[in-house]
Amino acid sequence: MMNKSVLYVDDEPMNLLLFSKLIGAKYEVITAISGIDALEALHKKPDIKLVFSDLKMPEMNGVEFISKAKKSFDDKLYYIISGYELNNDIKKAIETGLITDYLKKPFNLDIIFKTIEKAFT
Amino acid sequence: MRDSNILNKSLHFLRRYFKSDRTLYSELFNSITENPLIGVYILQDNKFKYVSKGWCIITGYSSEETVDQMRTMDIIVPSDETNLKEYVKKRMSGNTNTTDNRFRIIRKDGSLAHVKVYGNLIQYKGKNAVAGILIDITQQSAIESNLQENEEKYRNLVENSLVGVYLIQDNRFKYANNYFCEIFGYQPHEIINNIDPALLVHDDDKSKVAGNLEKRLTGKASLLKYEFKGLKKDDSIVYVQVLGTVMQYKGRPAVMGSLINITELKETTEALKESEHLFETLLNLAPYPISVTDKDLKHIIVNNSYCKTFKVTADEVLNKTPKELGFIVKDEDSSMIEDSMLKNNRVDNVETSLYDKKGNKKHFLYSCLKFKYKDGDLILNTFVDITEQNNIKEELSIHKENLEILVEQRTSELNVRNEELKRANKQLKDQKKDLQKTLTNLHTTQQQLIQSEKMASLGFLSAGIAHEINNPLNFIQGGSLAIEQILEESSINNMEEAKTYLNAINEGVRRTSDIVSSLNHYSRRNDKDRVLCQVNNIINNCLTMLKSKVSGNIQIIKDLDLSLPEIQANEGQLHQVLLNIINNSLQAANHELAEIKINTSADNKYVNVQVIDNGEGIPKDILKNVFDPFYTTKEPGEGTGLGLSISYNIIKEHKGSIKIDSEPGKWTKTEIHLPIY
Repeated sequence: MMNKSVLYVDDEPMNLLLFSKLIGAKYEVITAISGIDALEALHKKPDIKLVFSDLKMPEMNGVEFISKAKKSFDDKLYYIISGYELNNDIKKAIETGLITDYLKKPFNLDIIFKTIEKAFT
Repeated sequence: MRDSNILNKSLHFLRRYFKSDRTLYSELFNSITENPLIGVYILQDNKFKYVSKGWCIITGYSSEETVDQMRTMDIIVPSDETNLKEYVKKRMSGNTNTTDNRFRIIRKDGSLAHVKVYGNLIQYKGKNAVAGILIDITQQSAIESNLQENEEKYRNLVENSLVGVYLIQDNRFKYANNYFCEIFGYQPHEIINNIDPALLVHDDDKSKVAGNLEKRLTGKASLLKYEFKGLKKDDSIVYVQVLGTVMQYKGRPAVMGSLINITELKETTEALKESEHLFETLLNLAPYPISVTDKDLKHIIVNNSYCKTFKVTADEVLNKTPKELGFIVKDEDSSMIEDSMLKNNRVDNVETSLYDKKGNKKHFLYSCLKFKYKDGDLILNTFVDITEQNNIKEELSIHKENLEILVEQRTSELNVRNEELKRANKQLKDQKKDLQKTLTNLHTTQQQLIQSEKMASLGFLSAGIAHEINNPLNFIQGGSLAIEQILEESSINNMEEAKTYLNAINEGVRRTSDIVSSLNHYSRRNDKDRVLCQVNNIINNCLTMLKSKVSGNIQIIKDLDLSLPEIQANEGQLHQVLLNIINNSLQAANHELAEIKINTSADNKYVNVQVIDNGEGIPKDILKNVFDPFYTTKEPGEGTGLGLSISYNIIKEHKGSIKIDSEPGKWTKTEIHLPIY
């Protein structure tokens, strides 16, 4: 199960709990409560392959976080997972290759699993 | 008469011869006795004692045969013997005035001769004798007897004549015929030898008549013709004309004359004079020039007005033609007048110009008429001077022309003004139209702005709300999924039942999420950016949002082309359009068998959307207005009247087209074509 770690960043602890519970059965899930927390986690666990980040977070939003993370950890796939509808900022981020794709809340487990599997194969 | 004078003179000489100096008169006597025309004789004792040469010639007897041989009885016609004796007796008694001295004698040759005898008592050889003269008047007698016959004739004629005939001598009428008496109303016997002729003369003319009578009788005038005022027996007046001459009547002067009654003539003449006077007065009172000319156009009569108008005197113009007076008429006028005269003998109111002798031009209405007078034709000419009228007419015409020009000018000015005003009016109208349009646009824009603002707020809110709702929804869904895993791991008996409820939770989450998502898409209308949109998705989103409005009996039949290409569009705006159209159909189709068909399809250029409902339809007159802003048939508060107008504008902005068709009472079809980029 090495190198199959997934980082999930969200300022809502309940979401972190649910993501861990639902995805954690198949993959190793590392959670972070903020962008800063997530950056630390990336430093600690280099085998993280996928990063799912919430968009709206205090201090550092999802896009800001991914921008920073990508500078140090370019080998990982970054996704935004948000309650917001797909907006221009996200579209731009996809177009520039900053993020790979955008996923919607509430979680669609099928899509999340397909995305992870696709990344690991 | 002359004969008798000569005889008288001869007798005188004879008397002297015998009474006076014989030597003095012997030569004269000889000349008489030698005269072959005069027979001188001396009778004594009833026998001729001497006969002259003339006696012999008259009787045809010689002196020898007669002297002392013959008696008067021998030569006198026996039937005249008594007369002769009577005559001789008278002469013997010294009566010299006897005139009955005509006798007939029988010449020697047996022929009859008429003689006049003048005898006087003389002393011859101491005894009484008769010396006499005898003149042959046979020829004269023949004439006289003719005269007598003629006199008979003429007397009859005179008696019955219609001319009064009279003879006055010694201041009494010696003769007056019947007609004369009739004229003065007398019986002949009342006049003849009875009344003083002066009684028949009116006092007014008495001196004149007496004077004339005197003149004739004294030989100052032999023949006089004059008129006087006569007085009839009944004192009424009679006018007479008399032609009198002096004559010898019975050896003494008398006045004889004829007389005619001219009372009627006088009256007629008076009437004629009056009539002439009236005519002249009228002619001269006439305000128009009038003339009468003969057929050579020579003036015969002109009135005062004629003289005044043509500045001539009557004397100047009489017997002269207009041409001779220097009047000039235009050739065409005069030939026209001549033509008319030839054809109709008249000319009526011909307008003509005439130059008088001073060269002044005058206008006239000229009329003339040919009429017969006595033996020839005359022409009556009348002129109505219309120079003034013509001048006035000309002036009026000039005025009129000026006025017309003025009116024309004014009219054209007014027209220009009018055009200007019209233009200004049109500009104002256009401006008003523009302003109205601008106002409408402003209103539309305002409403659109309000709508946009609402949408913006909605978009802003719905984005946040979506985030805020989606997180809790994530909790629910995540929780539900976690519970499902736990339950599966726990291997509970009634897992299926639990799953049913967990699915209910999940379904609730999904629908809530869809609505939030739809709301989000819908509120994106103000996004400037065009993005790739899937029209099918938009339709589904709309149906999600309208779910609450879809009552159970409405069937929504979707026939969406799954291979529909995405198009570049403003997603929010397309949402708004389709939501609007589907909502309209939902409102229209509210009956038991209500049905809404939604089709999508694509061709090379367009994505096509059809929304067909079997609702109440739209009447033709309303159909043409459905895209007008603020046009609505809905109750106030139910609709703004902007829905389709905004939809129309949105589709136009997307370079597409939108069309609504309807069969009232049956169906309404909305078609949208959106270009594929």
